Amino acid sequence: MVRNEQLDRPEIMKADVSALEVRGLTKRFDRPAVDALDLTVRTGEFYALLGPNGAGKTTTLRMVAGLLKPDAGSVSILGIDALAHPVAAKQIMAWVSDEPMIYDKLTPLEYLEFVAGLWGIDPAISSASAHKLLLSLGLEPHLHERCERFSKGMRQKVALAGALVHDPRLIILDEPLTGLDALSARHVKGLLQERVRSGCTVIMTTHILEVAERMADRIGVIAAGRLVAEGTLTELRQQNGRGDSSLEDMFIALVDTNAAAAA
Amino acid sequence: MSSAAALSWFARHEIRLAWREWLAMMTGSRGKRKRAIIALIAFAAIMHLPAYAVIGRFADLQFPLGKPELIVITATIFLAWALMLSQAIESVTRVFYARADLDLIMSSPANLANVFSVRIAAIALAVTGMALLLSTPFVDVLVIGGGVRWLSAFGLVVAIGLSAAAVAIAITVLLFRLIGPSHTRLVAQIVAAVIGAGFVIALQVAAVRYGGRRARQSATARCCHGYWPAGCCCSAS
Repeated sequence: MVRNEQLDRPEIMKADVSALEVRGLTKRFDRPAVDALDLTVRTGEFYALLGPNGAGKTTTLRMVAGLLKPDAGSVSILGIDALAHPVAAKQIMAWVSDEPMIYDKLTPLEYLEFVAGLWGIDPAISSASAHKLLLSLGLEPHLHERCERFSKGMRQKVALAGALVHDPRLIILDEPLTGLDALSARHVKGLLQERVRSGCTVIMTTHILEVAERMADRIGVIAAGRLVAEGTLTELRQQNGRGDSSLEDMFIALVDTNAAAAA
Repeated sequence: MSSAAALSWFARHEIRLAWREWLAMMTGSRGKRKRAIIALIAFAAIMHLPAYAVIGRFADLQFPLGKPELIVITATIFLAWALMLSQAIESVTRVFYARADLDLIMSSPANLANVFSVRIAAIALAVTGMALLLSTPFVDVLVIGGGVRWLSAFGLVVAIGLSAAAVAIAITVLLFRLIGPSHTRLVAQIVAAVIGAGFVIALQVAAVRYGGRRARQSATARCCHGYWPAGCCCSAS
């Protein structure tokens, strides 16, 4: 409903490009949070971005989502220069923070209708997909209840449904599984994998390494604002000379090595 | 969709949220609602007493005004304006920085100018609405004592509210640019607290000065009626 005329501009999109291409991305607060980061995520890929607390994961993703202005560097989303054409980039992308906001006084359906409106989708069109999304996340009994009494897990599911209602081509999720029970986590994981199968790209940060190990096509490890390792699980093992070690072992080794190097 | 339609769509969303919040506040349990209504009525009635004490003597004021009256009116308007300004600064900071839905809205392709326009208008309305509510007992006293001409005071209150909202926005945006959003929030809260405290202190000063004069007047009156020991004002006069 608040659609901007800049949105449908295929001339600013390049064909056959990465879903996300970040070059020299830099952001400094009191110290460098993201330090000349280069990152490429392929189209149709499930990419897990790992890192210890304060590594710069969220700052990176907030810059990609257009919520934070980088000090330097470039961000390209499906070929669109996100810094030069933020509206066009946001149109094809969704962002879910680790503490997503939903309106207490709206029902899940009303919330999704509002989110769809932000992306310029007519309620008549968004209503069907909103229903479908909420059903697939197990929220059918709560469609017409206000969100004020929802648990954290239910809120996260509503927020996730909100992120998917406009059918984005790049979904960025910051810790989407934190606080979810096993069944809810399964719902969310199933929905994300379904999106990836349909050609969508998902970038997710998580501290649950098992999830990254099972779900991600490729994994990136970030420490002190820099990408210190990247690849499939097998590639990471080869890079680190750790034959059949778990992702957890590799992650801890990588972070320790980086911390020692920094010291 | 045109910009006007987008503005109206977002305004409807904000109104729906505000209405439901207000309704929830007013319609908790039945007991709570009853208590809230009684407290509101009692507050409104009680507010007429200080209003009468402060402003009752000005009800029959006529042009041309003398210097003391002009000073009192100007000071009152300035204090009211400062109070509204502090409230507006706090609201603007919240809208620009602390509203939980900013991430969602700013990550969407929605036109942010529309979003913030609606929210700034809401601040202006809220500040002005609150000022109208608080000023109503004072205007009531003036209308009862001095006639319907005093209803025009509501126009002045609206003007004060709108100008306070406008200045608050300008100050907050300037602070954002100079010291960044997180420091702006802190500074805005301090400024709001200082202005609020200044308002209360100014009221106290006014009350003390007015009370002191009244006390002297009543002492004189008692003396002249023979309650005071001999040798005071009666013998002097």
